[in-house]
Amino acid sequence: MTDSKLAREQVDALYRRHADGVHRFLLGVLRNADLCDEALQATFLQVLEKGHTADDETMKGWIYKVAFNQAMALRRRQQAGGRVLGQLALDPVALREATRSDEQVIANETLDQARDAVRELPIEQQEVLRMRFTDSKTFAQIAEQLGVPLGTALTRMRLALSKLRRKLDS
Amino acid sequence: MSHEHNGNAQFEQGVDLDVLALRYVTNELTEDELGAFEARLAEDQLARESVSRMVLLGTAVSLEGVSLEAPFAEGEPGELVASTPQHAADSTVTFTWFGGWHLAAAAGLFVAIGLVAYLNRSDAETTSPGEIAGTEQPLEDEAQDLIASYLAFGDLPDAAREEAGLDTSLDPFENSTLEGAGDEVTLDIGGEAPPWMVMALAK
Repeated sequence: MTDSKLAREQVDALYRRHADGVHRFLLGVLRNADLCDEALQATFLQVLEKGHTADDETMKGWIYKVAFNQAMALRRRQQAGGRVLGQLALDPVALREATRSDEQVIANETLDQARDAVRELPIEQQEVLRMRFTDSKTFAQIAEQLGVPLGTALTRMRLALSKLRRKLDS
Repeated sequence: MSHEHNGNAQFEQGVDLDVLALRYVTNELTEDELGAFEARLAEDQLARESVSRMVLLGTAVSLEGVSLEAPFAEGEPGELVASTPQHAADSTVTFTWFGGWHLAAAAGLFVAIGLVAYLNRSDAETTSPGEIAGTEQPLEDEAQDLIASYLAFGDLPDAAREEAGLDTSLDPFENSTLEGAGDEVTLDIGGEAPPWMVMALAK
C-alpha cells in the first residue's frame, strides 16, 4: 500500500496479469460481452485511481472484488432501464465471441491449457461437458440422451471438473 | 497423513465450489441459491476464481466442440480442418456443420459462380445495364446446375471442388482434413447451416 497512485506501468502490468481472468469472471456474472468490456474498463480505472490502497498480497482479490462491484452496479443500472441480466445462461456463441484472441500470450496459453485438459478427458466426460455447455442441455436431458442414470451424468461432470481443476492447478 | 487428508478435503471442497459455479454460469441456481452465491462472490476470492475457471472451461469446450464429436455419420456435425498459411500459428477458428464436407461443397459452389461471373464480365471492358441483365440467365443456369448436382449427390463436381482448393480425394463423410503447409485452422459455425447457404439451396 502506498500514499500515491499506482504508476501507469504498474497498472499496465496488473492488467496484463489479471485482465483475462477478470474478464472471464465478469462474463460469468454479466453474461454479456459488451457489458463485460465496460465493467473491465471501469475496474481498471478504479485500479488506476485506488489501486495504491490495496496490499500487493491481496491485490488480485481486490481487483476481482472491484470487478464484481462494477458488474453489480452495471447490472442494477441495466435493470433500472428495464433490461434483465444475469438470468440467462452463458451462450456458447457469446463465449467464443468473447474470447479475447487479441489478448496477451499468457491469456491464450491459459485457454490452450484448458483446451488440452478437455481433450485429455475420457470421451464420456467430454460428452457431458459438451452437452452441458454447447448444447445447453439439463443434466436430466443429458442422462436421457446418453441412456444413463441421472447420477451417472452428474458423476461424470464432477469427475471432469475434478480432473480439470487438478490439470489447471498444476 | 492428516495433512494429506486435509489437502484432499480442501480439494473436494474446491470441486464442490466449481460445481456450484458451473450451475451459476449455466443459470441453474434457484433464486435462494443465486442470492447466496452472489453474496459469497462479494467476499470470497476462491468463488470468484471458480466462476472465472468455469467460463474458461465453457470457452474451451465451445472451441473444442467439434473435436468432442464421436466419429460421425452422414448429416451429423463434424469437423473441417483447413490449412491457411496466411494465419498466425496460434490462430484457430472452429467451423462445425453437417458433416463439414458440405462447407467445402458450398465454397466450391460459390467459387464456381464467381468464376462464371468473372468470365462473363471479362468479355467487354465496359458493361451496360442491358448487358448485365443479359448475363443473368447463363449465371443462373450455371448455379442451377451446380445446385442440382449438390442436391442429387450431396456433392459438387470435382472441378468445382478443385477450384475451391479442396482435396477431391477426401471422403465427404469422414472427418475432412486438408493437409498442407501452413497453420491449422478449425472452423466452427455451431452446427447449423448458415442462412446464406439455406437461401442458396432453397432456390
